[in-house]
Amino acid sequence: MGMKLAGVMFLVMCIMGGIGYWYYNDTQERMAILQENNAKLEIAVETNEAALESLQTSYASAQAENTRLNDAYASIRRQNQALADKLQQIDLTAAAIANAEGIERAVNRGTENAGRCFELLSGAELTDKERNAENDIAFNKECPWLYDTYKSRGLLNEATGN
Amino acid sequence: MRKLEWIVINEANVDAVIARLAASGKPFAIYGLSGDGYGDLGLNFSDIRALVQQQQAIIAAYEGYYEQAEQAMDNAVVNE
Repeated sequence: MGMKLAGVMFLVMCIMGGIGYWYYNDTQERMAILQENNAKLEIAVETNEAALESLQTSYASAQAENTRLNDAYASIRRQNQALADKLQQIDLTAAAIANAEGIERAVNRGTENAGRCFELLSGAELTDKERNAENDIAFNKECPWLYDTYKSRGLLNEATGN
Repeated sequence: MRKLEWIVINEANVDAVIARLAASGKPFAIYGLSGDGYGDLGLNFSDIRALVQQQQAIIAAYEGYYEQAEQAMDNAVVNE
């Protein structure tokens, strides 16, 4: 009877041991999968954070560029308005009647200067006269603002400018 | 740009100008603009110049944006 009971107990212990062994292995496998998932999640979080940071930087730089662009537009509008303001103060017909030769010289000079503005805006090389200009008016009366642009880029001779 | 020459004619100098042009030996013909017309031509050129400047400003803005965006992407990849 005792031997029978011991046998049953042994069998039960073997089954319990087997279950324990299976449970241990299964748990280890699950833990490994969970750890792997956790590592993947950490990478995903890091990637998301990096992407978010990149987007924030892009957004900030886009806003900065937009502000710069608006400033440039405002400046261009002011420059464009300058001629309209000047023409409102001058009666070209009366001026041509009063001093045809003087106006002729002025419009020819103005036309040449205006054409030069287009050349400069298209990337033309500066002439010596432009490089040595002492101020924006001497640089070009039709687009004097370009003087500051070239000056800030260090393309004018150092000795010039005020 | 091509050099061009404006000739201003009024009632007082019209004969002298015609004589001068005739003396140059070229066939006589003039394309004319009134004072206001000349002013409008100048304003049109000014508008075109402003448009060129605006386009340049846009290109510069795009350039700046893409340089910074690319830098941000590079930084993100390095951090990753």
